Amino acid sequence: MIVAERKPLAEIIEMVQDCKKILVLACRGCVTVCSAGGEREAEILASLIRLGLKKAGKNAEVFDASLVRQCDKEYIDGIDQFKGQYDAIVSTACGVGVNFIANLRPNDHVFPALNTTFFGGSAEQGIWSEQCAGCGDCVLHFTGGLCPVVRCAKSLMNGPCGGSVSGRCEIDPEVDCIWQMIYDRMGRLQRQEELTVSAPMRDWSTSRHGGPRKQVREDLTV
Amino acid sequence: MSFTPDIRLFSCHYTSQQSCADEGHELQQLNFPENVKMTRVVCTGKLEEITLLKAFEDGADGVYVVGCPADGCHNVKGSQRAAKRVEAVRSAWVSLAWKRNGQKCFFFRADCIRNSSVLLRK
Repeated sequence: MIVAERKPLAEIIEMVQDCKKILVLACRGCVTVCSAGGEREAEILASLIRLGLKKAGKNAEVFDASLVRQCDKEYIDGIDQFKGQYDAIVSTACGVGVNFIANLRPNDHVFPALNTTFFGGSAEQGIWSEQCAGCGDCVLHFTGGLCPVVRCAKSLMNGPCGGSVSGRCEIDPEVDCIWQMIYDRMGRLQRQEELTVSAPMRDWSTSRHGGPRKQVREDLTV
Repeated sequence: MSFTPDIRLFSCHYTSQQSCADEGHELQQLNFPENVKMTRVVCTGKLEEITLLKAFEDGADGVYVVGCPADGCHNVKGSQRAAKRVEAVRSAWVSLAWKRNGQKCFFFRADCIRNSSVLLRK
């Protein structure tokens, strides 16, 4: 899922300080799962914005609502039901949601309530970690399912660097060396021999280096 | 001009049942301040941040939550959860630099409730 966290409250208050009617719009997708921007978090944020603006001597109507997702046109259309009730939207979706509102509502002010942090997962409650870079050229079949692109600080493709110590990364002793994990896992799976094959030079054009990416599925377009 | 703060108390059922017995007469005998409005909750762990914030929006000058000791919660981890939520509200307060009327938010151990009239007067 996409993982995010709320921006500092003072930053959000500053964004909306001149707004009179504010819609805090939750997303019931990934950011609900990571407890950053779901209905509960939007309700809390709306309350904090009310209190923050009141403290600043501003008078504003702040209310909260939610959409199923903010990354599909069909759901963005749901904003129509609030027409006339807001002069700015504070989106608690990830950056995709904020962009979608900006794309599809050219005359609406929209502000981000979250910092979108990474693609990750939660192995234990309240803790998320990055697992995928979305690089567009997956190599997980070579590495036992563990990603060196995002989980190696240097995105090395042919084994660890010289900084790996006792299975930990040189950037932080709390960070596992993913190449040590790959080596150990491939050994357990009796696939260690596969690691002797050098990975070819990587084509990064499928990643961010090729500019904004787009995917078209002709079988799905109408 | 005297100022009587509007204080909201959220108290765990297991904490408050004794104090609330006999239609609150015991609290009166303990000289519990009348400006403190008590709400009993099934467990402080059931309290959401929004409940505390709504109390402030509703005009409370102070909110305090009284629950079981962290290691003695009837529902195991309820008090620990409540303490974190109180801290989240307090942290938001700090980031808003909110000091109007000295609004405050606290978490007390259950055994404080009988002495809280003293604490409140301080």
